Amino acid sequence: MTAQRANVTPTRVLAVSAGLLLLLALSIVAAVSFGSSEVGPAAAWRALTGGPGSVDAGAAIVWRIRLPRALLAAVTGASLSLGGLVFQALLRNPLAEPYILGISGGSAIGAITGILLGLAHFPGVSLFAFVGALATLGLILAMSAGQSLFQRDALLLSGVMVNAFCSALIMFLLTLSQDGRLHSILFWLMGNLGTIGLGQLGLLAALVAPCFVAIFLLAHPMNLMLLGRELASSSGVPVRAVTIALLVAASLMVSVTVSHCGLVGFVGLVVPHLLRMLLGSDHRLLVPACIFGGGTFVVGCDLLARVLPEQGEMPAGVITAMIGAPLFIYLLRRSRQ
Amino acid sequence: MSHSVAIRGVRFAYGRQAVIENLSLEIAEGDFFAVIGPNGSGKTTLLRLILGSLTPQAGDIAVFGRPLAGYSRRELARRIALVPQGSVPVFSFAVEELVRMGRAPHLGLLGFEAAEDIDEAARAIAAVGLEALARRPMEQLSGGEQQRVWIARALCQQPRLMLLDEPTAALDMGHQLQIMRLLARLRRERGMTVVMVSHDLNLAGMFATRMLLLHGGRAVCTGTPQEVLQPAHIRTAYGCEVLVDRHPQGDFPRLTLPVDPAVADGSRM
Repeated sequence: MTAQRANVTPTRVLAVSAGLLLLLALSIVAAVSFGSSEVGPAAAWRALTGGPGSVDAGAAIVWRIRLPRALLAAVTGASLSLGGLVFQALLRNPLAEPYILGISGGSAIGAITGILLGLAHFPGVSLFAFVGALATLGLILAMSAGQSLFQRDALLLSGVMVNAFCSALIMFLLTLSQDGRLHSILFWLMGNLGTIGLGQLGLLAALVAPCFVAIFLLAHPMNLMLLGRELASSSGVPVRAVTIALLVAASLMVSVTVSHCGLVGFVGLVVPHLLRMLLGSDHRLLVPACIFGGGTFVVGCDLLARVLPEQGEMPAGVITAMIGAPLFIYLLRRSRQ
Repeated sequence: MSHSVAIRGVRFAYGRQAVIENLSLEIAEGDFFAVIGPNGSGKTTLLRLILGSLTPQAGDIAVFGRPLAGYSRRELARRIALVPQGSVPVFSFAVEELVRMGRAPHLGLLGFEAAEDIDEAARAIAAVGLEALARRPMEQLSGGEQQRVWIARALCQQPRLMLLDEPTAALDMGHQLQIMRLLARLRRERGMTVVMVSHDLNLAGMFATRMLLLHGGRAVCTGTPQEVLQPAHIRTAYGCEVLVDRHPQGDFPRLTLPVDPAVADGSRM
C-alpha cells in the first residue's frame, strides 16, 4: 500500500466513524426490508417508523424478528472485528483472530455447559462463556509461551489444536446430553443470529459497549505496542497493565457475543485487514472503524445467508467462513514471502 | 558537570544467573558513551537497567540526579528514549506516523497529536534528513533509512538521554558511518547524552568520548577510548589478541587483528 494517508486527527476519526455508521444504518435497513416473508422495503419502513406498537401486518415480523436479528448481527460484527484487531496488535500477528485462536471455541464450550446446566442466559451462560474464553486464552498463551510467544506458527498451531479440542469437547457434551435441542445447538454453533429478543439485546449491548470504550481509550498504546514491548514501555506505556486490560476487554466482549450467536468465524480477520488497507494501521482510526465496519459486514453476511437459499436459511457463519478462509490462506502465503 | 546516569554497586540476575555483577558507572551529561564487550557480557541488560525496564536486585541507579524509582513511566520517557536494533512493525506505517509515536509521553488521554507535536515530529524527520521519505511506508526504506527513522522517533520524545542498542549492527560500512555522524551531530546540537551498545570497536573508538568494556557482567575498564582499547583489556574480555596503534590521521586508537597462524605463511591455501 503506497497510498498517501492523511493525518489521524479527531476530526478524521469522527468523519470515518460517521461514514461507516451511516453504512451500518443502511445495511440494517436493508436487512429489515428483505427476507423470506412478504414484507417489502416499503412495508418495513412503515413498520419501523410506526414504532413497535404499530398494528401493521409486517410490524410483528420487523420488530420481533428482523430488527433484533440485524442488531445482533451488528453487535456480533463489531465485537468480533474489534476482538481480531486487539489480538492482532497484542500478539503482533496478522493472522490472530478470536475464532482461529480458539477463543470463540472456548467461549462456546463455556456457553454450552451453561445451557446444559439449565442456567439463565444472563448472568449464568454469559459468565460460563467468559470463563471458557479466559481459559482457552490462558491455554494458548501457556502453550506458545517463552521465546516463541509471538512466533506466528507456534501461536497458530496452538490455536488450531485448541480449536480441535474444543470442537471434540462440544460434540462430546452434546452427545452426552441426548437433548432435544441438539439440532438447534448445532445450528447455533455455526453462527446463528436468529434467537434473540430486544431485551437480551439491550443486555448484550450494555456488556460490550464498555469494552468498546476501554479499547478505544487504549488505541494509541496499541499503536506503540506494535513496535515491541521494550519500545512501548520506554515511550511511557504501562505495557503489562495495558495488555491485561485489552485481553480482559476483548475476551469479555467476544465471549458474551459468542454465547448469543455461536461460532461466526473469520470476521476478526476479514474486517481489520480490509480496513487497514483502506485507512492505514493507526488504531485510533481502526478501533471505531472496526466497530461500525464490522457491524456492517456481519449484517450484510447474515442478509445473504437469509436471502440466498431458496427455502429456509443458513447460519451467517457459513458466509463469513466462505469469505474468510480463502483470505486467511492468502494472508498466510503473503506473510511467508 | 552533572551526571546523566549514576550506577552504584548494581547486580542483576535472571534467576540465579548473574548478568550484571557489582557494576558502578557514571555517565556525564553530554557524553557519547559506548558500551562494548563480547556477546552475553551484559550490554543489553545494562541498557534495560538504565531504561528502567529491569530493576536491579542490588545497588541503585539514578538518572539526572534522581533515583529511577522516583520517576513515573511517562516522566522517564520524556528524558530517556530508546533506539532499538531495528525491525519493521508487522503492519504498515508511514515514516511520519512512526516518528509521531515518539510524542506518546507528551500526549493527552486519547493520544491525539496537537499542532506542536506534528511540528516536533517534522523537525525530528528533518534532523535525520528523511523529509523526502516522510510519507513512505517504513517497509519500503533501506536498512540505513529505517535506522534513521528509529532515531527520529526517539528524538521526537525530546529526550536528554538517548540509548541505542547496536544501531549499526545490520548496516554496511557507509551506512554505519552515516549513523555515527548523525548521532555525533545530534549530541552536539541538542546537548544530548548518547549511550550506545556497539560491536564495532574502531568506529566506537573514533566517535565515543568515553567507553565501558564489559565482560561477564563486570566492568573490565571504563575511560576514554585510548584507555579502554588496550590489548590487555581486549584479551581479557574477548579472549583474542589485537594490535593497537594510532590512527594515521589523528589521535584515535586503531585495532587490527594480527595475521592468524592458520594463514601465517602469507598464503590463503
